[in-house]
Amino acid sequence: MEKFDAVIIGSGAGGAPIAYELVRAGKSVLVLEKGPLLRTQDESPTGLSDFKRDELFGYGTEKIIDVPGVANRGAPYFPSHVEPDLNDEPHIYAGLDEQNPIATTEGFTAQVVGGGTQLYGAVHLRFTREDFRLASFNQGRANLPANRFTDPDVSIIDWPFTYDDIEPYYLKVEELVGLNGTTQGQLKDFKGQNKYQTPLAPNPISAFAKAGMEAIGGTTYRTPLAVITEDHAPSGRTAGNPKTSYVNRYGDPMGYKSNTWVALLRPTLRDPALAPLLTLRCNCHVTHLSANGATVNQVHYRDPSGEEQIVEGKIVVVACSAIESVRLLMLSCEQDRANFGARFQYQQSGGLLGRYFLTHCFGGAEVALLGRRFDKSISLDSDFATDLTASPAFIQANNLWAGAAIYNNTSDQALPLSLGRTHGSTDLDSLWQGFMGDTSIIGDGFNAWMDRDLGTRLSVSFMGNQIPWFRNHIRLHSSTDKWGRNNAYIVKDWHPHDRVLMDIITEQCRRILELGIPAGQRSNIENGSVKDQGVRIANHILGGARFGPNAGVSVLDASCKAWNFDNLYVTDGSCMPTSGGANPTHTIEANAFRVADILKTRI
Amino acid sequence: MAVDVLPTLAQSVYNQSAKHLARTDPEARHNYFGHLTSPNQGRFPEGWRFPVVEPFFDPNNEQAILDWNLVTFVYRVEDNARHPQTVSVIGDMDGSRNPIALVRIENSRYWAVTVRLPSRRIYDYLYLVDNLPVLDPVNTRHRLAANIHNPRPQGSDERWSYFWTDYCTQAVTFELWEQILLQRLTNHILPFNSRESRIFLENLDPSKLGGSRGRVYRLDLSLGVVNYIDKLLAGPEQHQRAGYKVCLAQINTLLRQRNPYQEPRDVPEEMYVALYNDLAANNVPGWNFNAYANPSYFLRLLRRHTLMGAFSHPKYGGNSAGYGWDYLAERFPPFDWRQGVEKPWGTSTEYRG
Ligand SMILES: Cc1cc2nc3c(=O)[nH]c(=O)nc-3n(C[C@H](O)[C@H](O)[C@H](O)COP(=O)(O)OP(=O)(O)OC[C@H]3O[C@@H](n4cnc5c(N)ncnc54)[C@H](O)[C@@H]3O)c2cc1C
Repeated sequence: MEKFDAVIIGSGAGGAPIAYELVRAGKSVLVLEKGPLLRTQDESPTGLSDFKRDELFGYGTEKIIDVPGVANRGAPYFPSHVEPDLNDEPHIYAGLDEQNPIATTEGFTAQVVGGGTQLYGAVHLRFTREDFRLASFNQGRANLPANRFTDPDVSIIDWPFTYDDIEPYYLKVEELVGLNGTTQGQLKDFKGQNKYQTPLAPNPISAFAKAGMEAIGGTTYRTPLAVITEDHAPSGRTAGNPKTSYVNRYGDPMGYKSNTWVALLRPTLRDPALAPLLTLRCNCHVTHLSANGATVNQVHYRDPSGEEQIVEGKIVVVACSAIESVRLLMLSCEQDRANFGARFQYQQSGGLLGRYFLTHCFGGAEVALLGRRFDKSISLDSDFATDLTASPAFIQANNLWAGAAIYNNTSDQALPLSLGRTHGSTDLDSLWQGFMGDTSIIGDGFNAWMDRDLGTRLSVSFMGNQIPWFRNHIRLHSSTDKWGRNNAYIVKDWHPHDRVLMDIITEQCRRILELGIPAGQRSNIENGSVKDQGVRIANHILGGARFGPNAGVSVLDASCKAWNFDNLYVTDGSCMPTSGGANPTHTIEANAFRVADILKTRI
Repeated sequence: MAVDVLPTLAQSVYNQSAKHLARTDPEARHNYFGHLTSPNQGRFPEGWRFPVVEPFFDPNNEQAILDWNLVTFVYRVEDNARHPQTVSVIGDMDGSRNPIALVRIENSRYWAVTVRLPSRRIYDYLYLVDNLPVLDPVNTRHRLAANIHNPRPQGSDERWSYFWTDYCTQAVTFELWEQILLQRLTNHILPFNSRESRIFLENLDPSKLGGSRGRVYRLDLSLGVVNYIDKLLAGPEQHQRAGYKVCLAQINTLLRQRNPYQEPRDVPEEMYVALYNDLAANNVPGWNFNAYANPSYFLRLLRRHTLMGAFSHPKYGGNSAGYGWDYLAERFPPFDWRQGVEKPWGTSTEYRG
């Protein structure tokens, strides 16, 4: 049987940094990736990229859900070109009451080499010092509401390392992956070092957001974005003009967006000294792992035409994005309950695999500027951010357990179809419904609608910690995918304290717009958060296999190794015990680099 | 003229096929509750993506991306242990109607060939598997095309699989009368009909727009929106096709009832306004609710399709000559869609499409 030093499953944020490092340490690595290898323009044999600046690539035409037994059978959905077909491979979601489960596209990042980093908005924030130590931070706090924190299902644990431990890896990501931004104004300690490239001029509309952030007492900084603005030596990329607004949910045909393919895997394969050590097999779907005692000895996958294949790795790294990673482990448990299953305490009391599933407390405020129009189609995803609501002082003063980052969105609703798709919709599952039903948008009413909304809308968002709650979990659903494997079932709701946190930070976002734009120059401010909307899982897929100090409270140890295995690691967002007060990818990548340093000593 | 056969790249074939064609589950998960009657009854998602049509780039000819497509035919063998000796594709791709051979891609289930074909056309084809003609088992589009040389025994099925290349304006879904009804309905939704918009459209100076405007015929059909919907309902949203047909027939009948003296295509604008409002209210006097239960749903669908047709990339058959985008740029400055988009539509000096 084919054998590699390491087999890595998933080529996104959690997987690629490990491949990058292990190959450079002289180890042989196989990356198995379910999705295709979509190329940038300069590397494509046809001279054209497989990604397009084409609105129908971000959200396609209508498909219809036909999954037996779900409440939204017959409902439409509009997937991007790199999301799975829902009738082949759905995620099933229900609230804690488990009534009326639905099939959803939420919780799939992107099934392509690079994973979610191909489609992401590329907002690349560090977490704060407190984000890593929320248990300690909250210890003995008198002002936390007891009625919310005596819930025995809430279990907050510190990360198994500190900000200072991960700081060098943040720096490494900033340098190797290729980010632009400014350090000044951030709450995070950069220890005097700055690897950011220089940000491009902000879109003029963002000046209002900046003014508002300052008016509520925040210091602002340019939102760190994983987009190169200058030639990037570590990945051999040349800079160009990335400001197009085909950013969030679009792969970048030019490769300026720093995803894990162009930043980490491609440079490795292009280096003649390293290439022989890295094997990338895309369009290969891993179905399960099997173990001999504590050693995972076989990785089973389906090749591009569906044949079963098996490979072996001295170590096996699972990084499929949290929901799919947990599912892969559970399916492996199902295959071998006696050994594999028992080692995860699968379906036994005390078993934690799939528990403490997390996304983010997320929301914000939005307004239309009156009498002014900007070209939002010439922009990246965000221009300004503030850590005001992430500071310990703010958290304490507001009786919260954790904080959040706030940033403005620049590229949203910049293009005509996106205006129609998102008109009055609150989540991926209700796209188009608002425009379709608003039958007054015709003729001159159409002009009036565009006058109001095209290039006038300004929004600020927050990304806040969600409480780790035992009840929020991933398990297997009775429905099966196109390989006959059980689908993932996500049961999740907002803890009462999440709701409080969202209300408080939403209000800050509202004030930013209120104070940032003179009255009379703006429409009514709309504000809200996911707690009141259909968004249940969205794009930040975290937890479910958290790391911690011991097997009693966690699934993985500090090195991301599954407690009762010798060679099984999980390095995507599922290891996170708290979701952090910022978008997760920077931390997922930094942690993967950290784990890679440990793995080098173990192979 | 013989077809240009290009190198068929294994990586590309896998990229295009694995998500859709690799599977073990034999169920028909993709027949849209029985709406699709393809030979495989909906076993594969997005069968309309096959054969795979991609843009074609020629570094020495900016025009080539408008004039040509790369088309990859993929034939999936059901049992990987029993491959045919030969697989080829026959149809009107090749002036000489010679079969074009597919090659097996490594030791996979896939046989494939990539050819370069003119854009703006519909092609009918069959696979010859060990010389036996078969419909494409994946593509859900097939039609009667008796006029081309049929390799099948006389009297047997005359259906052919078909596809179209970019910028195609030949109708595949709608009859002319349906197109005209749709044109009038979508005109009413779009802004181009309002007074200020009409002035804008009349004053468009084609010489300033650059590129290859004017190549697109059927400009009269609502900036190509009807053509866009025609293709949409034959491909990605095939499941909506039957409903559209029923609704258009009903609208035709209703308009004739409401005004027996004029053809529906010629009735005054007010009648379409009244009809639009009735549909919006889901209260359409004379509507046969047994035939189609929810007329307002049809209107909502038409609204989405109209917006997509007016403002999506012109290669999909709408937004003729990019006029939809031009309209937005002129009417809602400083919106400048051109800077990020490829030539000849846009002005990007980097991105090629
Ligand atoms: C539209 C969008 C916008 C986003 N914006 C931001 C943002 O601005 N900032 C931010 O920080 N984050 C953002 N995210 C989230 C970000 O993409 C994820 O946090 C990140 O990619 C997660 O890394 P991961 O390693 O957990 O998973 P991924 O990067 O998604 O990688 C998982 C990979 O595993 C593969 N895989 C899954 N199952 C299997 C299997 N069985 N066999 C083989 N391979 C498999 C998948 O195809 C995928 O390539 C966004 C996500 C989306 C979808």
